[in-house]
Amino acid sequence: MNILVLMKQTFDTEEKITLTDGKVNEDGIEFIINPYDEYAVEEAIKIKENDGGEVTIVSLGPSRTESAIRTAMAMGADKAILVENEDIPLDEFSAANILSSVIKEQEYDLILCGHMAVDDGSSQVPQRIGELLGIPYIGTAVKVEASGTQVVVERDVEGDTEIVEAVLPVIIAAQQGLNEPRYPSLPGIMKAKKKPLERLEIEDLNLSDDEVQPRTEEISIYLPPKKEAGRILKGELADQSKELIELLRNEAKVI
Amino acid sequence: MNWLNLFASLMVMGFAFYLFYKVLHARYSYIKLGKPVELEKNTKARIHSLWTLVFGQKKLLKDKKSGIMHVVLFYGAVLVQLGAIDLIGKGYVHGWHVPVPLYHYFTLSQEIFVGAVIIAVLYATYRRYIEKLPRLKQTFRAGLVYWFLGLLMLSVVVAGAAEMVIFQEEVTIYKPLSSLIYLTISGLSELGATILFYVAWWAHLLILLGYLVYLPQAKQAHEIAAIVNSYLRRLGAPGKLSTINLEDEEQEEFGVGKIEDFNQKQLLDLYACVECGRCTNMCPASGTGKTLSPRELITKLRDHLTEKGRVLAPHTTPWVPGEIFRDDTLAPSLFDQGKKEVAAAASHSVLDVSLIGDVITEEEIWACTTCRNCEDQCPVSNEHVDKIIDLRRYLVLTKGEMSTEATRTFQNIERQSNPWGINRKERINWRDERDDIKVLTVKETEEFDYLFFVGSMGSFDIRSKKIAQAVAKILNHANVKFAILGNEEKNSGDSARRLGNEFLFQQLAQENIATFQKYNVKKIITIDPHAYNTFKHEYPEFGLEAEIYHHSEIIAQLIEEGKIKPDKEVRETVTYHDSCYLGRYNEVYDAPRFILSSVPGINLVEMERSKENAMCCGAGGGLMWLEEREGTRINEHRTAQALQCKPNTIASACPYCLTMLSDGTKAKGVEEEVKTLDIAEIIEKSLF
Repeated sequence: MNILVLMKQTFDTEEKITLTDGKVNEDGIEFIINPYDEYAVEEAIKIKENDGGEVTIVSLGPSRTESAIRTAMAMGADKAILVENEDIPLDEFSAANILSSVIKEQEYDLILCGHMAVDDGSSQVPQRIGELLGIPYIGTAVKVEASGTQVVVERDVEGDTEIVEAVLPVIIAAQQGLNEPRYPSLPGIMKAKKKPLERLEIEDLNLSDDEVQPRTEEISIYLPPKKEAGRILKGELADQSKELIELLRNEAKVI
Repeated sequence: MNWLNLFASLMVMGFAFYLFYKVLHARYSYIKLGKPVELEKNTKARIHSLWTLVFGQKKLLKDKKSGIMHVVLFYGAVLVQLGAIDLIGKGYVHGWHVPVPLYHYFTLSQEIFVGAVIIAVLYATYRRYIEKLPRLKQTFRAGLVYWFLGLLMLSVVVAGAAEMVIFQEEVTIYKPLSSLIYLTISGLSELGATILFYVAWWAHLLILLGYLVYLPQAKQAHEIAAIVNSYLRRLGAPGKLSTINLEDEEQEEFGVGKIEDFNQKQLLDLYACVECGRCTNMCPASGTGKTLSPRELITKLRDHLTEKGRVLAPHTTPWVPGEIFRDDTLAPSLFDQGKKEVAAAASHSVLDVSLIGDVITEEEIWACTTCRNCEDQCPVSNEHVDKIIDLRRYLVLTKGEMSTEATRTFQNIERQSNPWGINRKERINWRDERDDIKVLTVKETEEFDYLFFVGSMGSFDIRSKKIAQAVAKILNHANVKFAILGNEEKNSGDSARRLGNEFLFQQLAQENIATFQKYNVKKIITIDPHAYNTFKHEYPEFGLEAEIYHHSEIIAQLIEEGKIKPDKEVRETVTYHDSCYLGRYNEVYDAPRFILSSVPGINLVEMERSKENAMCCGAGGGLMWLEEREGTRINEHRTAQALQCKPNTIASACPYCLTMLSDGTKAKGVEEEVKTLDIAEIIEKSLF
């Protein structure tokens, strides 16, 4: 079974976001595989280990993304395609177009990806790609059983489990709990250095300007306001209630 | 008659020596299957080991009762061999005896040795089968040696008594035991006595030769292997791990995945084991119901080596006669168990048995806290910990197979240089939590004598930060010029290395050393005994040249020099828990106790298990970061031991130990009555 894994490199979840000139500062930041995408990588490798085939990583991002790709290769992915983009602004619409145009050139039975990226958290690209490729999309998967031409997926629906059967090819988005991603072995790390990584530019793809042009506009980026310490009201219970309502109405402005 | 006797006995002797050679050579060949190993050349130290460990029986005497018994058996069994020469000669030449002056004193001394060995054998039997010492196995086979020795001794005195009849000797004080037997057989005719003499003579010879053939095939092999092992034992810092050459691009496997991946010295250990159980008796994992038992680890590896060895070295004969001495009930390897169950699977070969999984389970491999209590106990200088780490290395480096917690720990250390994955830029924050301490980074001051390596615990862990702050306060007070690396400090890598991740360890070691060199660091103080140990003994291999101190050593020195004077009374009953990496790894036992005893008001009480016998808190070997799934909790056991001496404070000198013990007091519901403090915090109390 040939599996494509859509993978993004994101900030380590422990990193503190800082802004410089209205842009997220990337200096001295530790980058990792987007944790949800890591589940997808692991799942793809597991399926490959059982049924054979090939796992190809498909990524879109700056050249630093290579380190995340090499990690996925060390885990067991076979090859990768990276569409390098340093500074052309994109959104979910254009990203989905770019990735789909790469995918269309590939032979695949299954596409796996994370159900969202932990940086922008938009959770849109997988569905869009399913639409563009004309294949079914199954989201928030917590269990995937692929066999031959079929796939049975258990998906997390707000705490319940829905079981979906589909005929391949499909695109499946991984939810936390799908698996425990492995730690790359040392021979794995060494082999990863030599695995093929194809680098493309957006211009190399057969896309019109319109398809690459984002449909949304980023107006400004700001950090959430600093959380202030909570206040404990004191005094008689009746007075406290009165004060609370007062504060909710005038200070918090929620009632 | 005599010619026939001579001929028959020489034939038997020749055959026995041949068999002895075969079974010994088999084991020698199996040891040779291991990787060659280069041993440190230091003949003086090696002879010293022989002197103390073999002739002095130092480790054996840790258990006084068994130790004295063994000393008697060891020297007795050697010395009675002079008597054996005497007796065997008598069987060839009528009336001969060893040509020594004052022969009657020779017989007296021999009879005393014989008596002593008999008493020791009886005591050993008592200890094993009647007292039923838990560390000893109570099987028949385990006590086979007592029969050999006991009957051998009996044959000596029976032959002696028969001789007295033949030569019509009187009862004499120079042959007390023979005389005793003589009294019961004095009525025998000369012919009867001659027959009895030759029965005893042959019994003596056959038991002696039987024992010779039996010896290499059982735990008695230690009589040879333990002596060799004492001589060849690893010198230098105890528990220092070997360094894997990661630059070697040819290498595809790391660590030990099959028995012959161990080095020859490690394999020699296996045959040196005498199954005395002193190791398992002290092991924190065994003591809390984990599958791991250091003795079984060794015996299973040994049996597996012999099984596999006879296939890999097909012309060897490990067992004679037949396989009667082969013991598959005692510490059976899983292969033996499997063979009984799936006897049908004809293709099943010992070569299909995997070392990890079939012989040693992953549960066993991950249960070790690397505390070295087993090694410290072992009378034959076996090392258990490095074998376990080699198996972990295989799982982590070669296979990438480990628990989720271990994976997370490694990833967190890789990304943020601490096991929790807390943002590495928060490493320095501990110093800002108290405004009464002055802590500068190496960037902020060029004037420092010591680098204070805080470690991940002291930097990030809420409780352990207080230790770092207390140490800083004390150093400030004593006007010690020190600085920290701040956010440039990395994880020491000890947890990574002990969990088998040599790759990550080497990376961290190289990065830390580069930082030390950048700031021209000459002396390092740390509050983390694990960092202390790896800096002191393992970093030098990667280029570190610095003096390493634990805060207990520095504080003790400051008190001695009068630079700090703890004078405020601390009215507490304190028991001190030894950290393994400070204690058994580095023999720092006195400094922390000196510190505590210098505080007025403190009543220092010792736990039953303290100093080199101290039980581990459960956090060593990277186990701090893993779930304890099997058995009961090690930290609660250790806390219970501490509580037995009714302290108000359990003192420690390691942030890991402190965490484990404070969790222990919480689990026991005594955290209100019994404080858990680092020695630095106690000194701080007494100073300010």
